[in-house]
Amino acid sequence: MRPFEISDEGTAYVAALSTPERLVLAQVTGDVVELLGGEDTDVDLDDAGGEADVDRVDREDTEDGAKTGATPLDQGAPPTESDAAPLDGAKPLDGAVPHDAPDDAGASARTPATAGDSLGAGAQDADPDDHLRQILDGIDADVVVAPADPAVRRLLPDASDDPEVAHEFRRLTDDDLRQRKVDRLLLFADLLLEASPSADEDEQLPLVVGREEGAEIAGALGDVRQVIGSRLGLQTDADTDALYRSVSATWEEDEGDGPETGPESARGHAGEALSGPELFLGSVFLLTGYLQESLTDCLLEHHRRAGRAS
Amino acid sequence: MNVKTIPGQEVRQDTGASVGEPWVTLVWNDPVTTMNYVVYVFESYFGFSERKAHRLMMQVHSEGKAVVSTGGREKVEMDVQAMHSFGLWATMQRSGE
Repeated sequence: MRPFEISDEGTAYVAALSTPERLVLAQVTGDVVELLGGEDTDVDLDDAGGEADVDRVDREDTEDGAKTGATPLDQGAPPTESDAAPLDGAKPLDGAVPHDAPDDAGASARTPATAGDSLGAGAQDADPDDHLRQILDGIDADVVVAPADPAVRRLLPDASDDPEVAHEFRRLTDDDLRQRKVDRLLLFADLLLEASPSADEDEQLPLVVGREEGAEIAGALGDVRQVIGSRLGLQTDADTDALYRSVSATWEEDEGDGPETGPESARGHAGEALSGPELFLGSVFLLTGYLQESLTDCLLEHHRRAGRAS
Repeated sequence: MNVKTIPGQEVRQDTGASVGEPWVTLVWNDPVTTMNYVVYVFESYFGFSERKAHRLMMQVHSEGKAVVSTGGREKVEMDVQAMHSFGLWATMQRSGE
């Protein structure tokens, strides 16, 4: 990953991501769209498969992900774990697929009973159909309830501790806010899948965000981070600092240890071991953080330049 | 759009939580949003100066929250909706609560 910079002409913001990084980000972004009750049809990884590992994805499952809860992430780790790419620990939160499973083991390990989204909700509201029905019922009855899933609630928080004010606000704004977030998440996923995948997993391909799309993409990155932060149980700034230390320590270990050791586990300064799904989500959290922060620096520079010019 | 170019608006906002405005918008600290993004939102949406945006961001970060706008209920509702759209955690309440 290379962070965002303003393009030479000043008309775009350009970062660079490897093919595995793009696919993982597109996948996670699609999961957030589903959590918001949006249609995930635009996030079509089939087109981006090419020679990359996603061509192992069961296409029916991709189409039918909302019903079975299965997504391409359930296929587990990319074929080679030896590369330095920090996202190689890819697997779902429920750990249905063993990290070191051979390539052909993913399909047999994946059943509707064990598969889950990387960001899937807890057991009490895991069925996206129920969630969607809840939303639709709410609209019909003109009663919009607060999201039960804490991650969605971070995206659509209560606007007041006064229940009447919070309810009225939700009734007025819930539709628009959901739609706006879904739209920009889908835009982000489209941009991620724009470049043809490279067979070389280390090759950094440009991610080009038009100047007028910058704020939308920064917002989408923030929404993805909020959902991951919620799933990782980040409650305080100290939690986030500890996560940064744990994940970066793993990345540094990987660089030093050669190809035989994948990012199996890490021990942060707080003494908390990180492994498997938590490490995967933590890696995506850091990656999206660097992207959002660098893109925001670009946006600020353009905003301030325009302010001085006026 | 640069709100700073609208005469009077910056003056009113600079008074902060002034007496007589019935509602306030509060932005709360959260463990996920980066500091520069908060500054960007404050500068680009409210039209605050770089210095004011940074001061309010630091207040959110160190004190847990800051009042970022005041006004009638509809105006504050609009500001809270904008903050939620940007991805910041914001609430509204009556002044003095």
